[in-house]
Amino acid sequence: MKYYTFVLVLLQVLVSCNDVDEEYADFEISFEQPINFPTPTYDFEDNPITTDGFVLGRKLFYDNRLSLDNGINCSECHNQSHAFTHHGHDLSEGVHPGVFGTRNSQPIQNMAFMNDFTWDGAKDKLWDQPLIPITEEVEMNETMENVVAKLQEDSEYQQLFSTVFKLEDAINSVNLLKALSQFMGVMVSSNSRYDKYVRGEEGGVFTDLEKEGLALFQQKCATCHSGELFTNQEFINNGIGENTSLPDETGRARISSSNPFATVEELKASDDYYKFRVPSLRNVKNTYPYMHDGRLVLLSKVLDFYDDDTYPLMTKMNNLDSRLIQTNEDGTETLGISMTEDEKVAILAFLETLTDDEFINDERFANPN
Amino acid sequence: MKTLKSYIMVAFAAALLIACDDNNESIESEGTHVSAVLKLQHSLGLGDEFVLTDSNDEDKTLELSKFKYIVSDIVITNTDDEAIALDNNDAAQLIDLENADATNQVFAYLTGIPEGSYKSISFGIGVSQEVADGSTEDQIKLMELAESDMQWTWNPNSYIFSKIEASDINSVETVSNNLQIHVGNKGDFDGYRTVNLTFPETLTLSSSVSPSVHFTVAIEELFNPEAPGISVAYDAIGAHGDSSDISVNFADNYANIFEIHHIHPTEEAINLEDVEEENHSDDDSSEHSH
Ligand code: HEC
Ligand code: HEC
Repeated sequence: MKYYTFVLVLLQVLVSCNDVDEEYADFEISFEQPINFPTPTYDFEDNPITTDGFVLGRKLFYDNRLSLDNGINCSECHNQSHAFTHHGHDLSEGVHPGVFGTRNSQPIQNMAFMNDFTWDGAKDKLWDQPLIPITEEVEMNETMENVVAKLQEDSEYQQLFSTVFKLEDAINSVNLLKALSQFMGVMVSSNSRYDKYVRGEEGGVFTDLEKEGLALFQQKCATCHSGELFTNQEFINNGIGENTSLPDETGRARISSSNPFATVEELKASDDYYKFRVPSLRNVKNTYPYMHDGRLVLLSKVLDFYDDDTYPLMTKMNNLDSRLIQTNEDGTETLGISMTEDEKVAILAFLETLTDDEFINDERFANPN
Repeated sequence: MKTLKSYIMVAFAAALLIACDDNNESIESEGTHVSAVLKLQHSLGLGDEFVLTDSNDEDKTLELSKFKYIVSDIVITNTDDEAIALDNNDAAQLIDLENADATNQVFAYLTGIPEGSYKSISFGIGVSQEVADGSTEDQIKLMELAESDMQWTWNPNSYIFSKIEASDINSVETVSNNLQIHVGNKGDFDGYRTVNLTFPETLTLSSSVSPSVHFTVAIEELFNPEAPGISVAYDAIGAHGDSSDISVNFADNYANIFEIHHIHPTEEAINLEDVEEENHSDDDSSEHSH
């Protein structure tokens, strides 16, 4: 008897929700798999992407209430025109004026295909990644409890959460994170001129220089920046060297250590010291400055960095990736990747074809308010 | 158009609320019956002094300042050997000495266990990797329990399973050798452990009683366990460099500090709503159980 009532109630809820679906959104969202992309890592079964979920996630992404004293929102450091990075900043100031984090903001794009998140892989699931920015002192410095309480006061959020999660009291941390994850899951950048070129689509025309750059890139860079995501998703020491103004930086070592209280000195002995996730190079022209701490401002400087033969900028730690060390006949070593200046021009021309204007201007991802 | 939209939204909200009220009414009139109460009596309370051996084999007097742990994946087995797994969204707990009574007891109320005769119980200390990697919906309560002080946001498994902290009250002139151990699943180390205990007599659950199970939790045995447990110097883990053997021994000891002392089989039936009202010192964990 009880059971029947419950089923009826549930039906009623589902029916009402459907009504609202039609009324609410003026566009349809679904995850679109680009034909040239790998299989997504996003868990569609656990957290299916719906239009309402996307709309809710977007509202949250652009909502200052996710931060202490309602100071900033995610887009502060993930700005669409810069492929969702921090418009030119090397490090980012959070809610506290003058207090900076220690890493360069990463582009929010193609998250649905990644195995690990952040520069050091502090997270291996997209849905709980926002725990970091929401709670970190140098970012939004808020507690999940407070965010949930703030949202619960807002009847519009009550509506939206109920619609998306088909429950009366649906505002809780997990659902908040899931909605953000739905929004970020849809943010796929796959319509650069490069994509159109490889898919043989209209507009996919490459100049000879760009073709040459692609070939050089595949030969010199694609061992790490591989595949259609332009990353093999490995954690690698690419010779970037310590940043003396950020003495606590240890790269992946702090994540792979089993000791939560390990000191920097202890972590220096780790094989993961100063390893970072190979970044995707999609929209790379817009995501400046470069590297985990944003120390290189120009793409041409990144190429000079790799061309250690000409510009000795690389640091050889014990765990410098072997793909960046060549042993010469006389037994000496050449670090990095040798390139002529002409080759660099070609590679730069190719890297610019990875800019996806459709993604950067996609109004569905923009601040709805 | 906009107003029409908002009318529909309001109507929808009303429908939802009414629908859910219908649902609630039956529960409210009866209340949520507490199937059993776990009474965890700890050997120490916050502020208590106790003596542990450090890695130089010296005895140090410490003052306990924090002891808390997450309990998840509670499974209770009946006399027909059927294992009943309790939903973490109802049954998971954060046991924190901060919420203990004068005799260092913390209560955990279990609901929704089918009537019957039970012989044993098991539960995890922490959150298993399987649960952390699994359904997000099944982690709603666990995340809330972890939120305030049991979370490494920057770790793939964000749950901190247990924390013990105490200050070395001897060291005046020397560098203090405080105790601070946080266990979780970090790097290659997985500190999740399961406690398995048999009831000293059959535990009969029915709607007419809310029996209690009285556990003792011997905190010092984390460091000085009974055989075959292996002793651990309190300052050998964490801050003083990690040795995985020691960490493993320490986590193993967690599974053996619990004992069931006795049960009160016929305690008067109680409702969760009533005990929650009484216990406002209780953390807010039970507020959003669904
Ligand atoms: C104060 C600036 C700042 C704010 C605000 C901020 N982020 Fe970030 N975000 C960063 C930085 C810096 C990184 C790189 C973090 C690292 O490696 O430690 C990052 C990384 C990420 C990543 C990982 C991307 C990848 O490629 O692995 C995601 C996802 C993300 N942020 C989402 C969000 C969301 C969602 C919000 C809002 C809740 C948010 N961020 C708010 C600065 C910020
Ligand atoms: C051995 C692996 C490896 C090779 C080969 C490699 N890279 Fe990288 N690359 C990395 C890693 C790791 C980083 C991140 C380092 C950091 O953040 O400190 C990186 C960073 C970059 C960045 C910065 C991106 C950003 O968003 O900040 C660019 C641009 C880049 N590489 C371009 C190239 C080019 C062009 C080549 C070929 C000439 C190349 N890389 C070869 C591993 C590699």
